[in-house]
Amino acid sequence: MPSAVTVSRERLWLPVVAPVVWSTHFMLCYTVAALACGRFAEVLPAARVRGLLVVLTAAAVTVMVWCLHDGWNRLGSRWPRRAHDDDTPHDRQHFMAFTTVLLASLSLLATAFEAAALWAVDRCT
Amino acid sequence: MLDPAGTAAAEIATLFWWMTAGSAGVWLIAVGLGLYCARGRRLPQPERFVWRLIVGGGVIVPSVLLVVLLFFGLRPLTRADAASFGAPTVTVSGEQWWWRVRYTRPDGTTVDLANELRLPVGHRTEVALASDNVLHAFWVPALAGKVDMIPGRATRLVLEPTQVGVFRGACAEYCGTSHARMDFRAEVMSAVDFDIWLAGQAADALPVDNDEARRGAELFTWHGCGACHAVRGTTAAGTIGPDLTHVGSRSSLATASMRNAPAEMAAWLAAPERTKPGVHMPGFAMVGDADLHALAAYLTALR
Amino acid sequence: MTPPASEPRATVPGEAPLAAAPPLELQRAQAARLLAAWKIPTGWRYWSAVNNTVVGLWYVVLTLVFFLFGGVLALVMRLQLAAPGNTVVSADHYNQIFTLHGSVMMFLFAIPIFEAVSIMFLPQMLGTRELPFPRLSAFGFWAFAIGGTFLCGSLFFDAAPRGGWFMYPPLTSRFQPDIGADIWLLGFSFIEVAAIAAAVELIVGVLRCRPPGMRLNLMPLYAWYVLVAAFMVLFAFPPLIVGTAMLELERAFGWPFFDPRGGGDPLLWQHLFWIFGHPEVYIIFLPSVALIAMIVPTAARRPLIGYSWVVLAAIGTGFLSFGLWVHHMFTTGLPGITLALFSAASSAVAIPTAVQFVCFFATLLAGAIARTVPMLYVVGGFATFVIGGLTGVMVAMAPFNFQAHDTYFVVAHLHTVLIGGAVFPLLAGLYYYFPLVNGRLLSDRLGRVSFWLVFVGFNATFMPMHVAGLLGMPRRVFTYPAGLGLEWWNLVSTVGAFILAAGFAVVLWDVLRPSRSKSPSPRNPWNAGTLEWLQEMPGQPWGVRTIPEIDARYPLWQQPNFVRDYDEGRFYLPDAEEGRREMLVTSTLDAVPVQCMRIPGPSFITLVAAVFVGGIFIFPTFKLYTAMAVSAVFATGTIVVWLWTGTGEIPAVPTKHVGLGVTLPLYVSGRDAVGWWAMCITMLAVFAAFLSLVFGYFFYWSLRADFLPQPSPGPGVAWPVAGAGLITLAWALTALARRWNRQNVASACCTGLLVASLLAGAGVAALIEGPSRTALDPAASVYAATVWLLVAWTGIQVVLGIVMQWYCVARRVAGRMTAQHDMDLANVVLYWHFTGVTALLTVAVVAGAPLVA
Repeated sequence: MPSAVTVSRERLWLPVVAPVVWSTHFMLCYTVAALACGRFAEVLPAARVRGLLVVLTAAAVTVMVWCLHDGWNRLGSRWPRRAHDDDTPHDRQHFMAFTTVLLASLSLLATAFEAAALWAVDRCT
Repeated sequence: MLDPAGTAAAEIATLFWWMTAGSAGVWLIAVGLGLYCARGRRLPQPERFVWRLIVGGGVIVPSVLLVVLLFFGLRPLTRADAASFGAPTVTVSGEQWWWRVRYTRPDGTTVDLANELRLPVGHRTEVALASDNVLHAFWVPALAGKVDMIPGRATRLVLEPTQVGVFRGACAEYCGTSHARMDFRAEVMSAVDFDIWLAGQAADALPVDNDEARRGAELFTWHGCGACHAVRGTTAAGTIGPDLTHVGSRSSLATASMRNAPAEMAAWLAAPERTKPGVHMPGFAMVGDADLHALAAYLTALR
Repeated sequence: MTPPASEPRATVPGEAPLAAAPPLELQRAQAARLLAAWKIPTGWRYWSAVNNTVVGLWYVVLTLVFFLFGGVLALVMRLQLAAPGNTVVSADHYNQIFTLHGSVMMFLFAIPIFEAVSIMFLPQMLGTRELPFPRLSAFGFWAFAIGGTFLCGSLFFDAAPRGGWFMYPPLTSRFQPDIGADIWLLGFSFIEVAAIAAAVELIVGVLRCRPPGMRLNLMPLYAWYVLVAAFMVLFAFPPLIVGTAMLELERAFGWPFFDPRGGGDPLLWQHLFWIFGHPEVYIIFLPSVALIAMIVPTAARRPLIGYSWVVLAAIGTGFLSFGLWVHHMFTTGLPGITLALFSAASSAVAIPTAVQFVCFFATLLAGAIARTVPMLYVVGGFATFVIGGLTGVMVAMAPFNFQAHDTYFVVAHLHTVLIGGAVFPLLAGLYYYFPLVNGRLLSDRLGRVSFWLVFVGFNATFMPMHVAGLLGMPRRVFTYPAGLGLEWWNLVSTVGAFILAAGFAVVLWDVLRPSRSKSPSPRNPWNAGTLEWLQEMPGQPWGVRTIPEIDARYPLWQQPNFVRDYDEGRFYLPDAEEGRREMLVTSTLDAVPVQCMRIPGPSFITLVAAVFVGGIFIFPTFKLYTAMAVSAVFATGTIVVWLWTGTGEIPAVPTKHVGLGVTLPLYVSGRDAVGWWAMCITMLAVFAAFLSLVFGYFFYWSLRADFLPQPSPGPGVAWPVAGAGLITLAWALTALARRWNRQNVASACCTGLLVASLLAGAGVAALIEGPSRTALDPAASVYAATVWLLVAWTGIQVVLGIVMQWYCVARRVAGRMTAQHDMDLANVVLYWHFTGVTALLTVAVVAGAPLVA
């Protein structure tokens, strides 16, 4: 059945918001780590670095979870029972929503990997 | 690197074997699954099974395996890497295409040599790495991983050998024409032997004791070798080329390309370009065989 | 195949094909007119062709020639390494050969092959006539041909680069003063321009030129992969272009970007190179896997399972691959926390890679497999690629990387993933798609023979290299010491290399043997379901007989009477009444037709433009800077002529009936126009390069407390800010000029543009005045060099913007641009948006950063 969501809410780039957030989080964490182990070692001692990384990760995860939630809602709040292969606006929107859900999940997974690694190896040398 | 003789190399070798075993298992399963699928048994109602295959096989299993791998794989990075207290540090500088080695003893004095590294077993030696020309990389596979030598940056490595022996070292970053001819030897000895050796290297050059070597010493000065090379205790004080004060004591010549003996030394002096294409040292074939032999006798006598 | 269970479809006028076939006479007349409009020129004029099938064929053939060249270089290398102390080639020659082998394979084969295959087949896979900018494709080909020949030719003059394909300074900046490095830097920059042009073409083609009804969820997977790869090109190539410019400036003028004596750092090159280099290998891998995604459903005789998952895998891999680059730099003494971050990211990318392969398996499992040569290569490629993926995960672990980096273990890894993940799928694609090239099938028997030779040869060559690396054999060595146990492994590798070469020779023979000895192919020989197999055997130059209305992902399987309707021209644009080449532009998400676009036909101007643009890169190699400037002027002129004659054509009649009751405009300007999209996408790449420059500035700043000179800071504040102000005014005036043009006040528009160009010129002068006044010497410090480079970059961008403003004035005066037909000015305004932001950022950085510090 045609989805309740109007076509105007669909933008081509909505599914890639989560990966863009992942890359932003990645670059910011890398920059913080590099500066803390370089010129700004006094200003950024280990505890402060950890704190910054936690804040960055929390912010990134929040946005990604929002993307996941939004996609899930647009999917009809349930796992698709059949593929969205049909030539209808509904299926196309479903496809976009499902892709959003998958990309947000992958971004969360990658962020989790990276955050765990940053937490575990918290040293410069 | 599969025959480790140092703590870092041993840790990495263990990691390698576990990863290889795991990889072999994963490969067998993946390829087995691929071949099975390619047989093309048409499954009735494939939808439910394949979703499990995609989520399970594509996402969950790889994620779990990778988390385990990362845990063990990154553990070596969490260990502190300090040198033993009171041990001498070594500064190795990469040149085109040889190794400048300087030991700094705890009392602050330095000992210069080239193309050879000796280490006391069981001690952690700090190796400071540098280069003022191109990128090089210092690598003794049996002892530890490699570290790059970067102009403008100071890098370091701590070596902790666990066995006595002679181990091969190599340059592991492309540095120009003779990058392939830039090996060196790292000899690990007991702490006592090491102290004796270092004291010997710190001393000035031994006085020559035979006529041919004496003639070689004169030729050495006459041909201006001292402009590039240093022989402490004589007038030769050049730093462009390797320090030759104790060159006769080294286990190899021309960065592990040749035996350290008079005939090879003479061959090197005549045409260094043949062993090391692009080398900055000029050839001395024009001085004639007799003089070459004299020079070789002198240099190999500098133990 | 039964059509999938469906819901009632929304009907739109013109969605269903014509109920009755047009009369036979009319069909024949339509076909004849189409053929006449799309005719490929003959004789020497053949080289002016712009049809995608022709340009694509040239591109594929030339790429394969470079592949063979790179392969022969590898055979020479293997002969040299067969035994220790070999003297097959001298050390210096070996170093040239291995540099060229890597460079040719990566830049002249692996990237261009995806562009070439896409140019050749993407329109047909999408069921459309052409890519949106055929002359741009031709230009890209000629640039590639000229640049590639220049590069490979250097070997025969003993002037080839010899710094490795990665060209690390300081070796390549101060220790190799010969011309080789310049040839590499300038030659490849030229080719990178071609790559970005191809990326623009492919993105616009996939997003805007699909047939009506081909919604995003119905797009063939090849289109998804190519879309992702093209976006990756946009963001991966610019950092390399910037790094290349910096290295060339250091070599030619001594600007010390990578020289620590001037405050520079060799590591910045490594960062810029690998920010390009890592995504590059995924740019190579993804379009090759895309071929698998097209072959597997055909072999399984059913639609692919997990379409959305594969799309996820493509997009996910594309993004994640940008977070791995430092794993090529693990041994440079970086902090442990950085190593851990990149190890984790490098592992994470394995997940989307695994997902897509599982989807392929699932499809095979649920289908009935046809055992064909393409499937043989697919399975063999997969088995090989998994080994490479696993060794990749191993070297992703930083501690193991410390041992394996720069050894033959990595050589084994990279060839395994590249050959398994790219070459095998390409060979599968060759055997699968060959009928589309000339209507003949390649030999099944020769295909099997070649597969086994290639498979065995590959393993014999590269499996021993794992061991050689573990035994301590470094990379990029012209020989190795005896007595380390390396002799046998190297000898086996060498023998394997010749077996591999024999396999390729068999493929080459199969391709080159005379057509009459090959069996003719029936139409759709593999019974595939996707649109490229609509092609008649042999194919016609019209791309498609009629642009179809799409209702399903596998129209040949799932849309009833589809082929019959297509053959009878029952869909859109079955005719070329005015003798023009026409195609449809559609909306992004749902492929609703929005424009009937007329595209240009054959022309030599693309070749001329490529020659002059090539001069801009080739003359400076020989330090002929005046010739370079002259070439730049001629290049600009040629491109202006090209645009003047080939774009923004105002149609005699504003709309055209394209079939099925749909009437579409012929001229569109602004955000819906494909030209605007092309400008936007190109400027994204240019902006990415600019951001790489800004990154460089802050990279140096983060390294050294004394980056900013004391006591007198940089270029001052007054002059740069004045420059920014003038350029911003010019920008605003340009935007206003568009509004005035729309209001049809021609005098205001033209005056505004001319005044804007004067302001812009003054702005550039002001920007240059700043660092000149404070006597910043770019050869003395990396700070000065970076400031000057930022200023120069902005200046060049503004100057090109001035040329564009004058162009618009000329168009308006000549009546080729009117109040409604203003695509020229719309695109120029877009260019100025990017340029204005660039100028503001430049001034913020060079004038503002010293104040903040």
